[in-house]
Amino acid sequence: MEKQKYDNLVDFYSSMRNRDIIVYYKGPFDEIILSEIGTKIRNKVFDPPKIGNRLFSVFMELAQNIALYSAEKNQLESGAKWGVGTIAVYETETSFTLVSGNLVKNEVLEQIVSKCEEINTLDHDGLRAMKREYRSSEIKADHKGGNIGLIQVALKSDMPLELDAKQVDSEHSFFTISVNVLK
Amino acid sequence: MQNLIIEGSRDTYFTPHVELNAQTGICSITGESYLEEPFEFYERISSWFSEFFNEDKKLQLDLKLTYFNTSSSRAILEMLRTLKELKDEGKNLTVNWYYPDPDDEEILMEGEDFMEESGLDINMIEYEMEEEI
Repeated sequence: MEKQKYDNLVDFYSSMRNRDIIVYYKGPFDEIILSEIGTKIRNKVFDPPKIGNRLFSVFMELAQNIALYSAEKNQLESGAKWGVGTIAVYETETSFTLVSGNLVKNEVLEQIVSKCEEINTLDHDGLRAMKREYRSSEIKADHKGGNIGLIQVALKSDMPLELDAKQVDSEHSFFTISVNVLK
Repeated sequence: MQNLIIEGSRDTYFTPHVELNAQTGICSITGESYLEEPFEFYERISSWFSEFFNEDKKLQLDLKLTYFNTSSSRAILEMLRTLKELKDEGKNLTVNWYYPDPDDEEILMEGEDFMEESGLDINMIEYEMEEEI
């Protein structure tokens, strides 16, 4: 029995073995974690530096989405409720990849997926126009706003968002977005 | 009227450096913006502008932002819309948007988008970026 206890983690670790991991994190996305991981990405030397700026920007938007919108919450000492999720940033030969995952309610999953699919049909100018449209119309309706964040992520990546969803129970699915920033 | 100075910081959140000068009318917002309460932050600046124009004065706002998250960008747009309203009322104001060289056109693009969305005339000014570590 003891032997199987950590199988999931071992599987995961093995699956990541051939990748150059910059960050892997699971837990509540509070402001300290955002700052720490963000700084870690920023302190890495990228050539050219704009790749690092893009990766940082992608990380910040996806991490804030988890913090605000994850269906799984963690109450920390401060009493603030932070969204729980996971993020992995790794390097391959051709790109930097940032994978983010968190629980979402099944009832909003379709909405998020169709939003991402719409984003994936647009080119750079189309994304810019969509961002302007959302930013202009959504102000004050929702102070935090995650919609523009996803558009910004696609703009910074210049590659389609890769999506995956797996239902975990009758109410929730685990939703994953994977983003590449080409070298 | 008091000047409004907010020291920039890069702790847990990133606060841009704000200098609003009530005597000269020369104002600047510089640095990075990722804030816990972005709307409150920029609303405070907008209020200062409104009060500044209670008298017949001239204002120049230099915006030199190197990073801002999307929540901040919505709050910045609100501030620019306040300035657009003031300008439409006949107030004497100029807004300059600084973008770095090299830029990969990202900061310039953001400035152009702000100009289009706010309807405010914004001067796009290139500057040479110093390496910051």
